[in-house]
Amino acid sequence: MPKRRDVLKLGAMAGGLGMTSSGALARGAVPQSGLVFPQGFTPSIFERPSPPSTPFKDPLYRMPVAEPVNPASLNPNPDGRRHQRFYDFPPAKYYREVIQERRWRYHSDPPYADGSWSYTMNGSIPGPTYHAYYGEPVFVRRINRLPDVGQGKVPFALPSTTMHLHNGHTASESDGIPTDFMNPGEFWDHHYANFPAGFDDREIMNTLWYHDHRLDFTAPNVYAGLSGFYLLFDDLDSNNENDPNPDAFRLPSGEYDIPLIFHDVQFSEDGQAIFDFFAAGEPPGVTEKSPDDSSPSTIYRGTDNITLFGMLGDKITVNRIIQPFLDVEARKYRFRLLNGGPSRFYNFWLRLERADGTVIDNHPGLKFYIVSNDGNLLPEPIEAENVEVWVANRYDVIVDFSAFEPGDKVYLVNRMDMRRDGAGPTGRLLDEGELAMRFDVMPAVGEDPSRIPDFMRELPDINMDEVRRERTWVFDYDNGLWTVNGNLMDANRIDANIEQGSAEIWTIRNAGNTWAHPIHTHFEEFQILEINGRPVKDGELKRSRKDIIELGPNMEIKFFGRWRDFFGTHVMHCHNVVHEDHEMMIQWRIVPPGQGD
Amino acid sequence: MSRIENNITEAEELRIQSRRKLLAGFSLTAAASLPALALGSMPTHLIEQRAARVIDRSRNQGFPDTRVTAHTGEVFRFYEDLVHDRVVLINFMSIRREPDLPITRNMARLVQGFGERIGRDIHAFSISYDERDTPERLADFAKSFHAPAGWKFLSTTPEDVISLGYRLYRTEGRFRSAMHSDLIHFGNASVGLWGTMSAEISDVDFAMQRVTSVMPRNATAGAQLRRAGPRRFDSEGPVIHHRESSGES
Repeated sequence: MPKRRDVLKLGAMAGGLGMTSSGALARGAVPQSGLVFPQGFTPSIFERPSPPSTPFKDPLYRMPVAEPVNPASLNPNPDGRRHQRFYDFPPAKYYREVIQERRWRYHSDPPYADGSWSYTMNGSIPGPTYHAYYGEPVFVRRINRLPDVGQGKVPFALPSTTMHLHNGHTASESDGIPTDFMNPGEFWDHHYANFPAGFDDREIMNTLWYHDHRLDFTAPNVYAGLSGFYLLFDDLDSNNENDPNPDAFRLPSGEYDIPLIFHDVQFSEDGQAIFDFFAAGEPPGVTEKSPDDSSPSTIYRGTDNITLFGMLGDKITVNRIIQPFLDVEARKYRFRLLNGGPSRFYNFWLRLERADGTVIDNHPGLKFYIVSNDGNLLPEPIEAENVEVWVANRYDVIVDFSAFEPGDKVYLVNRMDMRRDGAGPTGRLLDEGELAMRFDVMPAVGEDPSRIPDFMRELPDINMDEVRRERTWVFDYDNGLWTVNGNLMDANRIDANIEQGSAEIWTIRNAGNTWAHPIHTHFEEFQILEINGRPVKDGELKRSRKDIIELGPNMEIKFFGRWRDFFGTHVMHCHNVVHEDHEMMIQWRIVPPGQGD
Repeated sequence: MSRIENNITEAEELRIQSRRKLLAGFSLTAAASLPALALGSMPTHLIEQRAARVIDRSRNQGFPDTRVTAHTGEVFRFYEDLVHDRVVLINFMSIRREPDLPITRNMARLVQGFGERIGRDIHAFSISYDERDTPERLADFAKSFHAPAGWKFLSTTPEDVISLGYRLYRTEGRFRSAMHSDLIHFGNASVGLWGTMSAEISDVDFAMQRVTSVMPRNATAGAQLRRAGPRRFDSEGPVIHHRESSGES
């Protein structure tokens, strides 16, 4: 992928970027009702597919920006003796977030129109979007008002939650680790200090999200609704495209800065979300091993229903609306793409449909300017015709609709072919793919003051002298169970004691030869040194600060990480949340210097 | 496009390489696996028919309502008699495998932790996947763990063990003989709420909390909010979480 500057220098905007799939120009961009699966397999989403819904009928949901509350209204009062460094970073804003079971309307067609029972935050899914600023610490009181077990309308989820701020440089007790849950009628206080790790401005992060992390039940709880955005701004990424500060990036802001979270959901015939672990595929049977079957099991085969591997839904929702549309002006937009899971990965492309119905896949405007990886602004934007978004990945992209005519329709197309069991991608690129949402191009209302900057945030130094030790984590599979270094998750076991202020090099290895894991470690961003022994080079998308490792089959990735500013326990786990719940997780702890292992 | 194509090629290559490695090694461990024990020489198509018959996904939360024999000699229908309106603990075990994979020992700690609640609020079932584990042998085994009446050791036909395992692990026949770890399943069948935890229990109190999380708490509606956490730094509490100790508000 070219850096944006190089492309501009060469003036090579059009050449070589187009998609070459056959028939791309002739067919209509008519939405498909389902996903393309390998022949001979009928997953439950085909066997018992979600009820039909008219595509692009409903507008994209724009989550409300969270409103601060008066701290005096919080009873009991916030208590600094419960939070590390509370008095170093006294909260400037206070929030109250109530988690309740409510109906959510994923679509306006029946049966969806009556609403699907969901776990909501202040009545909304996704939850309200927090707008936070570096230098303004935040306090969030989360209150669990979910009905007791057995009383609720979401049978598969557990009405007990812990909310993790994903990416946050957050002390353990506010991080939302799996064991810090609150039950119905209980609340938990979170203190987000909003300062860059190590007080290094190059560690500033911008697109974060929050989601449930409940021990044993993360997959169903997030699926039931518990996710939302937490955006951090600073002097440079200032939430103001008219910022007079000459150093400000002036990325599209306000109405033109739109977070998009993707969840794939399956619905019952009465429009309720179902978390259907079991009903997928054919009944179990026994067949002989096929020649291209690499699994060690030989005798008892024949079921395609290996859903401990993942959970795939057949309705792609964007901000919890099924296949929405969005009216866009012919100008630049910043979209914050986030894959909220549970298990599906996406490979997003853009496709143009002219007012006369002509479909174009290789228009020069059909591209993303990727400005961040995992929510962290890159040194320079990267121009790409597609962006691959694994579970929990965040990519901020700029799309410039001024390349199109009013009346044009631009589709966001997912071309990732997933394994039918949900355990990872097949490696194939779908020809047509699934249309996730549609942008309807309108005339621009005024000037577009926003910019695509040439340079953004430099990467922090990697200083090998700080490295105290190396560790290796092998992600594997033990006869139906997901393991790390051969172990299942044990909340009572600390797998690494890391000295505060030190750096370490971690090797993350996938011992599996067909499945993929998005591996997430909490607390601080890391930088990838090597992928399969090959160094990551300047200008590559993965030469960035990250919190997700895209661990494909047989891959080995080395990263450099630091652990600063706080003490305590955090986790690293697979973010295919079905794998996570089935014990693919370790715990590590930041300890004082001299006490590490 | 080149980036994607390269990735595919690399991944394919790696896949082919490792496939070769696996093909060379798989037969060594296959001999004593659950499917081998369970299926014997039964023809493939009969097993398929059998499994299709016992698993009806539209009923009983997909649980096969198979006939099982307890170590007491009693015969039950697994779902209707033992599971359908209860909070249950379920694990799979084999007497022969116990020294290598001590799952029953861990179940025993959990059952002991619950004390009198076992058989009243919570029912425990250990399902043997080894044909050699007759009810008589299982009775002796249960006795060695001082199993209370609410903890039953079940045996059934090999095909039905597979069907039950299929339902609970939602995965194909598994190599329990080669496993180094296993799960304990817990669920509230009247709600349809199911979870799992590692059978390597290092903290019994916490394992009990995981199980009771699927039970109604019977908190009074509209009651005063209670602080779950984080607890104050100067207060006592377990290292593994920051929750308040129970009872504190």
